[in-house]
Amino acid sequence: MNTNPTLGELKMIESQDAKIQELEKEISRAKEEIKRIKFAAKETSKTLKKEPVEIGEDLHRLNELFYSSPSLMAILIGENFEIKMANDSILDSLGRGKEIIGQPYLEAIPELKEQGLGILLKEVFETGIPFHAYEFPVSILKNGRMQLTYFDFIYQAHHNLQGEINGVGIIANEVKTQAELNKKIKESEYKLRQLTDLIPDLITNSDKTGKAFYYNKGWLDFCGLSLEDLLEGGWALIMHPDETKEFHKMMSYSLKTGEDFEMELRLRNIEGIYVWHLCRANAIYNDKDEIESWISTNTEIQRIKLEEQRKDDFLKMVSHELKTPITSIRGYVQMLISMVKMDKFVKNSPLPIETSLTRIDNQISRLIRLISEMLDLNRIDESQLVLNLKTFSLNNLVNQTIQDFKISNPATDFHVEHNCECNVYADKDRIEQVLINFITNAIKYSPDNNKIEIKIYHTENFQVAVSVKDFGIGVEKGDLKKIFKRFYRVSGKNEEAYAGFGIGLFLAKDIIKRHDGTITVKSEKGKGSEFIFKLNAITD
Amino acid sequence: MCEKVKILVVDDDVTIGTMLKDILMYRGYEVTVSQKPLETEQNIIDNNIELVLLDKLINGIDGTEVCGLVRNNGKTAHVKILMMSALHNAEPICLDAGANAFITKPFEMEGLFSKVENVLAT
Repeated sequence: MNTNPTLGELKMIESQDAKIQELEKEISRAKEEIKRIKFAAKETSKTLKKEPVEIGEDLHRLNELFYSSPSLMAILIGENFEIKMANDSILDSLGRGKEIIGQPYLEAIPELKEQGLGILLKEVFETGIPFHAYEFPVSILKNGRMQLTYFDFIYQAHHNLQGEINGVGIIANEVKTQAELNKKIKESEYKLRQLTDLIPDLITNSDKTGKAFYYNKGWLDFCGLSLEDLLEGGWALIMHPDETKEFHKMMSYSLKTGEDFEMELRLRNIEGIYVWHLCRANAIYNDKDEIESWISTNTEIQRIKLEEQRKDDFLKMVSHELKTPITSIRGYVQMLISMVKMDKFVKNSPLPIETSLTRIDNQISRLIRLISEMLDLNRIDESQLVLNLKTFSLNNLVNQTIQDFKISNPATDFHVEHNCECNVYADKDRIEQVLINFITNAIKYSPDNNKIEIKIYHTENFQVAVSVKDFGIGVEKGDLKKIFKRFYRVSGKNEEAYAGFGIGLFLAKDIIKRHDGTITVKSEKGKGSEFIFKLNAITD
Repeated sequence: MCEKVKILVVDDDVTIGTMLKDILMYRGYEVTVSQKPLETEQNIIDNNIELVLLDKLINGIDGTEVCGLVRNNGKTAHVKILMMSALHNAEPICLDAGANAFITKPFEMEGLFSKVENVLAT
């Protein structure tokens, strides 16, 4: 077989090669085009930074957000404000269904147009300036009747892709509850004001510096001043001058510390008469625990004060009247005791004259003590126990007191130990009263042992202590705390022997407390007791 | 023996007046008792009194006023005055009124004697 091609055959091959070359060129051009398109596509998606799938997802999310939002949202398109989109929240609030979508907004809900909302929409549509409203009252036809409700809302212009206004977007929140709450608060505040105006107490609200910014009607009625006068001058204007100093002192302390304020004071009424009031002030704190303001009340206590005064006067009169015959009895008894002691004949008589007279005298002392306790108790109750402070020698007081006791209790064996010489600044009569109480108790509760030890000594903290120690019946451990209580008395078989109001130690504790001192007791049942009071010493 | 010191007791309570007279006489003083406070100045002059024991709360007039009258009268101003009362806290008021000393009722007899002696000694 011949394998060499003919000339014709060669020409055919040549033309086929050219075609192939052309096709190859075409292919490479197409490839370039594909490359270019691919590149362009890549670039486009790069600019969007999103893959096409993502765009779909975003749209879904926005739809979700729009339709499931608790905020009321709608988009109105065109001059007729055709409802393009409206979420369930807005449909619910407007009391309408999905059927209104596609309808003109103001026709679908005509009551809005009547309330002037159409004009507002038009303005936003024409000017592009958003409209904001807060707690805007709107009546809506819901369930067949008009219902008032409140909205916070924004109307803002909606733009097409070319940036031209083509509608209005609505975002709103129904604030019915909040608005009603505010209304309720206002009502409640009004009621409170009415209440504070109706009650007879004088009520003030002050800032944290104590400057009053509110006075109730009671104030104006009471003092006859105008609100302006009161706000400007403060109510200290009508306070009794005797109480202003104490008031300012105590008030500034309360303002500084936040502690409750309480004081009795007199206020001048419209007729110019001073009337007793109980003044109280309490701090109001904010949530950061800082004092925000003060509320003070002044309650009239004139009648109570008068009653108190009457009781006080009565007790004073009773005490005075009781003491008058006692003075005579005591004088005679003591004269007789003195005479009997001198008279050998009577002294040797089988009649127990001297012992009887001494017993009478002791009972007189008891009677006198009871009367003073009764008065003191009244004073403590009314915080009237005013201290008469003076500097005096505690040693001298102890010596004098024991001297008096020696006269009326000749059988008692007093041992006095002065471990220091000391002056104190205190109420001498009251300290003497405490000392008498200690010594009387020591004698009273030591029926079988007549020894009593009294010591004066320095303690730490520049204090001076006086201790009175007996060797008598002592106090049970469980009773130690109780003995300083009012009306407490040691109980037991011989109760009658220890009669009294049971306020001696209660008073003693109160007196020492008022001197910034302390009272302590050590005791052992059957062995005796030691009572100690400590006062601040005067150091030179 | 020197002459007895003369004391005037002014108290509207008859028993206290008598009691004071008895115990002061027992102690050796010469005692005049009066229930009429307004006659105090005259009594002092008439009886050559050295010490007045004066009650604070007397019917009709306060002892402090009587004390003032005695002090303001040239003829009686020199007389010692010991005021007494069963009222609480009466001491400073009485001393302010011009009394030389004060004693609380009811008193111990010995306490009264020492007050009287102290006042007379000053």
